[in-house]
Amino acid sequence: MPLHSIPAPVPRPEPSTGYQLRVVQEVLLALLAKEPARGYQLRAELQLALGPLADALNGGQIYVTLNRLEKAQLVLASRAAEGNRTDRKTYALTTAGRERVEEWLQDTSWPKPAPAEFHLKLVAGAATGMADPVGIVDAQRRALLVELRDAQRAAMAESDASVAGLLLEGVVLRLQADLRWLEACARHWDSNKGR
Amino acid sequence: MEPEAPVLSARRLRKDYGRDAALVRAVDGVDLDVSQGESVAIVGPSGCGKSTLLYLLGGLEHPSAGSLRVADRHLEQTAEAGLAKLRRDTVGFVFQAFHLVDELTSLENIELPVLLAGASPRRAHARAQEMLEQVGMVDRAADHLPSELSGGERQRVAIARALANEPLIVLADEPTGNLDSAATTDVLRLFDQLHANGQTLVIVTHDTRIAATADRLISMRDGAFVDETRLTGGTARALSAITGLEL
Repeated sequence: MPLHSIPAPVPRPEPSTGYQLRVVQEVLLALLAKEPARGYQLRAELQLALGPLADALNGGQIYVTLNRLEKAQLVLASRAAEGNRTDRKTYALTTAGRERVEEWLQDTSWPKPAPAEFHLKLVAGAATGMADPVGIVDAQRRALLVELRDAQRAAMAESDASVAGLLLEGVVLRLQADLRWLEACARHWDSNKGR
Repeated sequence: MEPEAPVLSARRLRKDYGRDAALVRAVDGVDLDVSQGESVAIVGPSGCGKSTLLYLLGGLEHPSAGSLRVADRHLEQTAEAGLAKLRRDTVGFVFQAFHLVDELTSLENIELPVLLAGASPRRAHARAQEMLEQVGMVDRAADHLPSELSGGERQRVAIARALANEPLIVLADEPTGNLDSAATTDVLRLFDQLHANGQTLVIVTHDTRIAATADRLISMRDGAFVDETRLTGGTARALSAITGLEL
């Protein structure tokens, strides 16, 4: 790649989906709250909790985060005798780490669905005449239906006892709520046509 | 090879209620072809005519105009006795409120249509057992009255009853309308399994989960079809991205 002075384009932020798991740090700390564990054990626990969603898990990321937590003295790493590879380390929560977990468990902040941006898109489309709001709604509905189908299929593939199934149920219910709101959008902009 | 004729075919189907100033056109010029093994979801707001349409398709109501063929039978030319036979042998109904006979056990509820179709009690019993097995209720429901079952279990029994005479088409009217989220998933799993076995399904619903998992999704408004969608292809994003999971 040539080095030059053209400023890098501002990276396009990922569209907000409203379901972001913000804090992988706190998640790992919380998993250590019961007892010390090795990195691969933490990974396995996350995989169990996330089920088919665990494809987002990046093993490397877990170790990078654990190293950060170690530097911040939220965890204490002890090396087993047989070697010094990262995956031989056992991590234990420090007092500061435990406090962070307690704060996290009590934190009531909630991932927000992002209807405001979409709403403004419809307003802008109508105001500029550049796009028909009903057309925008239709395209969005289709996209959400495809997501709902995939999430529902994944939910159906989980057993009743699966804890990951509960997460998928949450995804499905939120997509359904979004689709209901799109119906309201379609009704509004449909009746405002030609005004 | 010639494409198979659709198992159900409606042309300019209409259903009116009332007359003159009070005339309501509940179904207003519907064209619909359903292929063997297809699952079709018809969605729309309450009062859009989707339930009326389903009742027309199953011979529960007579159309005011238009033509309707189910299997090789032209329903607009069929008298009530013929419609009764169609409802018994060719279509299976699933309703929102289950419509099980409260005084009969689950097993007996399923035996009933088989007996009405002329099977021996012994045969009806065996068939009902088989059906309960298929819907995963064999150890749960056999000797229970519907009132002793949960909503999801009742709907599974109702689906077993709908399937008892090996219908060509299953017609379902808001089958998950009275169910909680987990029971809905159960019923959807069951429909999915039926679909995989080649059962033709027409489901009227406002449950977007059913709509999203059907082969074809038809939107209905004011008695007419306004949109048709096939959700082909996967999402561009991984499942974890839908969840917003960023690890």
